[in-house]
Amino acid sequence: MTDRSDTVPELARPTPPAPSGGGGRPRAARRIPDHRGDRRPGGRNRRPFLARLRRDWQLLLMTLPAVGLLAVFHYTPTLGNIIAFQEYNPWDGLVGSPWVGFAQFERLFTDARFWSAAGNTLLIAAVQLVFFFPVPIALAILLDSVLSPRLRLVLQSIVYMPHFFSWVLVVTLFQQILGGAGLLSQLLRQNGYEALDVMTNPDAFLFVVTSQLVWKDAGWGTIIFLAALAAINQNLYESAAVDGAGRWRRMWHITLPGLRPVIVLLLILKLGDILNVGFEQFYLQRDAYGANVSEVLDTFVYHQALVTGNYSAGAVAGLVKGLVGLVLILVANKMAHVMGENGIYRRA
Amino acid sequence: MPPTPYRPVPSRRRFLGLLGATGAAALGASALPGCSSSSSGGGGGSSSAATSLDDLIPAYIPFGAVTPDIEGRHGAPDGFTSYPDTLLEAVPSPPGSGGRYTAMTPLWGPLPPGLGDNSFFDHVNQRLGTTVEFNFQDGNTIIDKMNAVVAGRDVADITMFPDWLINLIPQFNRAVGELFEDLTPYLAGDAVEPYPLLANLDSDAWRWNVFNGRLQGVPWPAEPFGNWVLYRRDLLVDEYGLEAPTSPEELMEIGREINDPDNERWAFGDFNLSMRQVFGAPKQWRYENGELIHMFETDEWRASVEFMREVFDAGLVHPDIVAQGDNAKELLNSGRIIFNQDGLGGWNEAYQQMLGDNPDLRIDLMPVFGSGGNDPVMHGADPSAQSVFIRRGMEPEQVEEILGVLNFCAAPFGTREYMDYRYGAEGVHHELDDDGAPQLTDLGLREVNDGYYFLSGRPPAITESQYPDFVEWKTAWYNHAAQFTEEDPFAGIRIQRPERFAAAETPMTDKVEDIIRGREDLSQLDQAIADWRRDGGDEGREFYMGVLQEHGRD
Repeated sequence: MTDRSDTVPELARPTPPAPSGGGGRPRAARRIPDHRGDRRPGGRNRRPFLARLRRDWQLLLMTLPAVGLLAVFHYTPTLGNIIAFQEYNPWDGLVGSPWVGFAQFERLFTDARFWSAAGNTLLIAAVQLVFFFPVPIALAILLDSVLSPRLRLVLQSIVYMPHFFSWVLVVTLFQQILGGAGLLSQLLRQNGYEALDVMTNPDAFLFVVTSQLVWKDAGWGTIIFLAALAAINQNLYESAAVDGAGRWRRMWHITLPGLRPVIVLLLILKLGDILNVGFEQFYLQRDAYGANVSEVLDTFVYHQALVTGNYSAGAVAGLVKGLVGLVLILVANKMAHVMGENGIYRRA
Repeated sequence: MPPTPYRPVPSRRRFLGLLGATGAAALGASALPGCSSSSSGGGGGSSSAATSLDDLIPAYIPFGAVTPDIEGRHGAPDGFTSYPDTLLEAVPSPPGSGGRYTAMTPLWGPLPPGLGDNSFFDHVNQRLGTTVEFNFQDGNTIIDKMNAVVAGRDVADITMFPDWLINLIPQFNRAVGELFEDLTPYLAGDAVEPYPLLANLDSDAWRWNVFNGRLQGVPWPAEPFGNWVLYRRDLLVDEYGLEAPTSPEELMEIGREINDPDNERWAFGDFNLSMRQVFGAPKQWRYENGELIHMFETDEWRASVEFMREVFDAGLVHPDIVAQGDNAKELLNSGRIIFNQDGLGGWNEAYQQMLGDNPDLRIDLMPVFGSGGNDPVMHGADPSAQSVFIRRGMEPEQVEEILGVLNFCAAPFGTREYMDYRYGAEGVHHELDDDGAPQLTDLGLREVNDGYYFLSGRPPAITESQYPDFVEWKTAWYNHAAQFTEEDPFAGIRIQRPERFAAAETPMTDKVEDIIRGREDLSQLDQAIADWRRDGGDEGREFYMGVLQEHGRD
């Protein structure tokens, strides 16, 4: 699980929503080195390259470790994607395996099970977007409204905790409580009712996996929103209260606009990640619900490529996934700009 | 750790356990990833010729010195109803000449202290006259490790591969000749004479270790059957006063009678694989009138699916198992289910874990029966459960010294060597209890491990006479069941399945699970079979037909 909100770059921190605060927190505005003086309105004709290098070399130096990491663990392996155009086998290696052009893509796109998996993935992602994504926001606002710091700490710890459980544990817990031989079913049975079958009923699948995600990760997702909430200028609330704004009005006009940049940013990241609904959760429950509803792209790749040693097919599926994700990110980012937000990046 | 862990090839179970709560185990041998693999030249399969195999494998010279109490018939393993009073000396003098070799084997369980810090290693190495230094791989993650080892050509002097792993490593048949010594000149025919304990191994198991026309590995002869239905005999017979079933109808009837969800007791786990055998489906292919018919295409298999659907529909299967949970062993041990299919080793495991707390617990194998008055068709396991390879490029004397080590580690039950490599020195690493069974001492528990045990195979035998009735019941079951062993048209031929054929099986088994569990209608079966034929089934049939022709068996 590499998604969710724990990887938001520093740049994305919210800037104060309104200039009115005056003495608020000016440091937030200085996150991005102020280059504005260096260029003319057109954005061209900057200082000479060497001059900029002289000015910024420390900054560049500081990025080196990160660049190195990216190069070694992301860019170099990315080159391995050429096996998507091969009939790859590890024994002949990247160079020796026969080239087959787009044959692997053709095979993938004509495979009904690929489309079924893609459909399931999109459906699950859409449901999670609607039913999971807002939960951490609401939870963060709730937590933020708890006044006692000690109580807030306790509550936060409790809601973070499930994030650190593995999916095996989460699924087992759900099974133990909601399964056909679980706590609830046994209770129902002893009182003469029908037992539950939500853990094996394909119709309940979407509901169950989304519930699991909410239970496991909603608390963790609040962290970034809590940080954003802390950055909202408290004076705004005071002046609004003085002006007679009630609780709801303050939330609507101050809290939510304050959160908006972060929400948009996370939404974009989420969109780029939309085809990655996760592997373990679905792998673990695939057989309980049947492949028809629970096969997602990641498990499809596993069963189609890794299990049968057909790595090229897996690379093709991964590549397609990555391209779709990239397009979605670009589109979403563009939309963010249109809406007047920073998005994840903006051309300098 | 409990003493005397008898774990013949726990590998596959553990491996699947690691994968999580999936139903992979229930899909059965033929559906395991372990049996599917890519192969040379982009998706084609390959096979090793069986006709010429006999020239490549060692002559079979039985090591007659150990006589069993209950002889196995029809290829069933022998039984020993007690531990021997006196141990036989199978290897009179240390075979080694002071060499030092590395060995890589999987290990399930905690790492023992290493060489130099472990008196068990010292003891066995002294008996060997050779220093073997182990490099253990965690059995649960061995697939990742061994893929890298093979791709990086970084093998130890002696390397053990579980058989299922061999099938998982892409292009293993190409790697094997480049990485490992051709043992044909050392062992084929009468050349095996210096190694009488290796000559005592089953010929089918040796044939299984021929790759590309060369004898490459030393086998671990497997028990003839991998899994079957175990049942709680104490509960069924003593508590309910019922007899074990003798037909599928009786099984169903018993199931309905004992199923009691209100009191957290269900009748069954999943026993899909066993029912295929009850209804007489082939394990993979049936060769009839010049045609190959796949299991999926037989009426017998269909009947087994219909039966399983009925079982699930009737609510006789524990809900955890309906959800493809992996806790069937615990459910059987705790009596929450009465019948469950498991590896035959599940029986010993259960006794080892449970008899201390529940001395009245009795498990037995469900008697083998067919349907409608027909005989069952018992699916034989692959003949060799692991292979031990010797690194290529060593001096002939070194190869011979290593073969001497492997010969020592092939010593069967009843020999002093067997006790040495499994339990260390008596009085130091183990003590004999009242049954004569070895119990590891504290030192033994810390140091003794399965390293040497995994360096070679030995004829399977049923020896756990410390468990009540165990040897008698298991040998009786085996001697009855073994006579129904299927005649596999491909017996003895190691086949790498064509990629598309292997890949077509996943959607098929998924569909079958859907049908059995009531998520799809039975009528979906025909479409699923047609899809399977189109997506690789027919391709597989052609390939397998070619294999038959190649071996002159058509």
